[in-house]
Amino acid sequence: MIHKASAEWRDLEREVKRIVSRIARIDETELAGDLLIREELGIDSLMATEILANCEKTFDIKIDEKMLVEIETLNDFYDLLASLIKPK
Amino acid sequence: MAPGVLLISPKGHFFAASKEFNSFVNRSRELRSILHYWNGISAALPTVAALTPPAYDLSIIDENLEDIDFSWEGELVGITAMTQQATRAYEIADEFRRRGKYVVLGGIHPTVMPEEAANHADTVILGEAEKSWPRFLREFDAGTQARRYLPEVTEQETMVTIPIPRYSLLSRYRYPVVWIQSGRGCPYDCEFCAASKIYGKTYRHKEIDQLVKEVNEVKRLWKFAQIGFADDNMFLDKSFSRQLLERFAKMNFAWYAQTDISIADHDDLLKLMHECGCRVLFIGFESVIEQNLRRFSGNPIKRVSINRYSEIIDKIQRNGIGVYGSFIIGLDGDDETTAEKTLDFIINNHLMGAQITLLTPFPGSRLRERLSRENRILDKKWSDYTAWNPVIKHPRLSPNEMENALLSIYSRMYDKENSRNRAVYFANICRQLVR
Repeated sequence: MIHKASAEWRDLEREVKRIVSRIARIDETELAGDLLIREELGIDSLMATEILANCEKTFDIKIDEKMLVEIETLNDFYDLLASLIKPK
Repeated sequence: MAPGVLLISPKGHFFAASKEFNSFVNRSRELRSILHYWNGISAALPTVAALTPPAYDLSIIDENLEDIDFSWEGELVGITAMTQQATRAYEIADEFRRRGKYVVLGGIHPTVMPEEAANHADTVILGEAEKSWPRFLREFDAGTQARRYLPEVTEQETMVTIPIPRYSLLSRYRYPVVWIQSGRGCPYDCEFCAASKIYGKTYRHKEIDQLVKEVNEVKRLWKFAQIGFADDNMFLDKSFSRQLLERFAKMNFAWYAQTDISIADHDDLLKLMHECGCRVLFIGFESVIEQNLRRFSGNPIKRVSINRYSEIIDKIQRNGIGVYGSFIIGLDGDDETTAEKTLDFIINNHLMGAQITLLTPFPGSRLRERLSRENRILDKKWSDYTAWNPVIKHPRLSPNEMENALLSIYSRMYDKENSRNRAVYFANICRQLVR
């Protein structure tokens, strides 16, 4: 589990924003962590799945796609990834 | 002094009127999400606004999102209406006329039902507005306006002179989807659809530069909105489509479009579409019963391709583009087994989504003419023409059975097991694409 105050957390956020920005085609600076992924950012289920696949490859993890339905905000997604990535 | 002009998109209904269906929609996250996306605005009124000289004091109201202030003090009210909005459009028109305003009705429904619309309007404008609206304004200023303007745009004309729609007049609304019209016309002339009759059978389109400017304007105004291309059938002209997509690839936006199954025969276009932000294609499969497809149109594309439907869907979705299939229940060849067969098709092919509607004889369609002759139209209340209400007499299915067929397909398609299976299927495709 990566801790929120760590440099790894900041790297994680930066990398996830880069991926989300590329797939959802939203400027990285607009990706505030508390915005609702579907209703506010307009990210649909297919985009979310594509983001998942890219995060799996980038962080070398496996994410259970069923968990996507529980994710409401980018902060939720950071938390999920942080729980799956082994700290260095 | 030029008068104040108020353009109105009347409140419209979506989904079925029945309590059971609405209760189901309220419980279903997926159907609420469909409703959310269909709340987008079309380019019609912003285009009319752009055709209006700048001296006019012009505003637009989307009544789905804002109440109309009937004490508005301008002179001229323009109201657009699709069929399901017509009843409300007439109420608004009557109220403004009672208050002494000059009312113009236009849009698809007044185009196909001009006599009816004329009972509620001072002027009815038929067909595409690009020439007739500016002419009407000139004549209105001179006091020589007509009661009716017939279509002046023919299907031989291009769309290259259409100005960039004034989307900024709607930017106070938070739309999840903004619809851009890149072209008009469809060669297929399906019996149930009035598009070929209204826009013609020849596909005409805007120029690439026009569309780039429109996309940039929409993204400037709504940074999180998806862009939907509203053409009934985009990508008919494959050579133009390739050039357009190559230009889109240099931009940065996510989008949806409506097209037909022929796109699956062009691997290069599918790859390009995914690369340049296409996420979902809405495709009308209409029916999984071959007999139903025979009656549809002079063009046999759907009937001869029915055995390839699965291959077509697989090909598109493997490119990372979700297929949102459209199916109609209540066609003459349907019976009590059709709902189950349609559901099996949707599930077995892992369709990303599906829109199941009930056969609806929209005015202007050949279907309406035929069902009128056969005395099979049960409901003539326009607000019920959402395509989710049973409004016709079917040879074998009662109105209740048709409505239940919709509910049963939706409830099972979006149940937990099928939603999970769909998520796994798409996750595996995306994993392969990023390898």
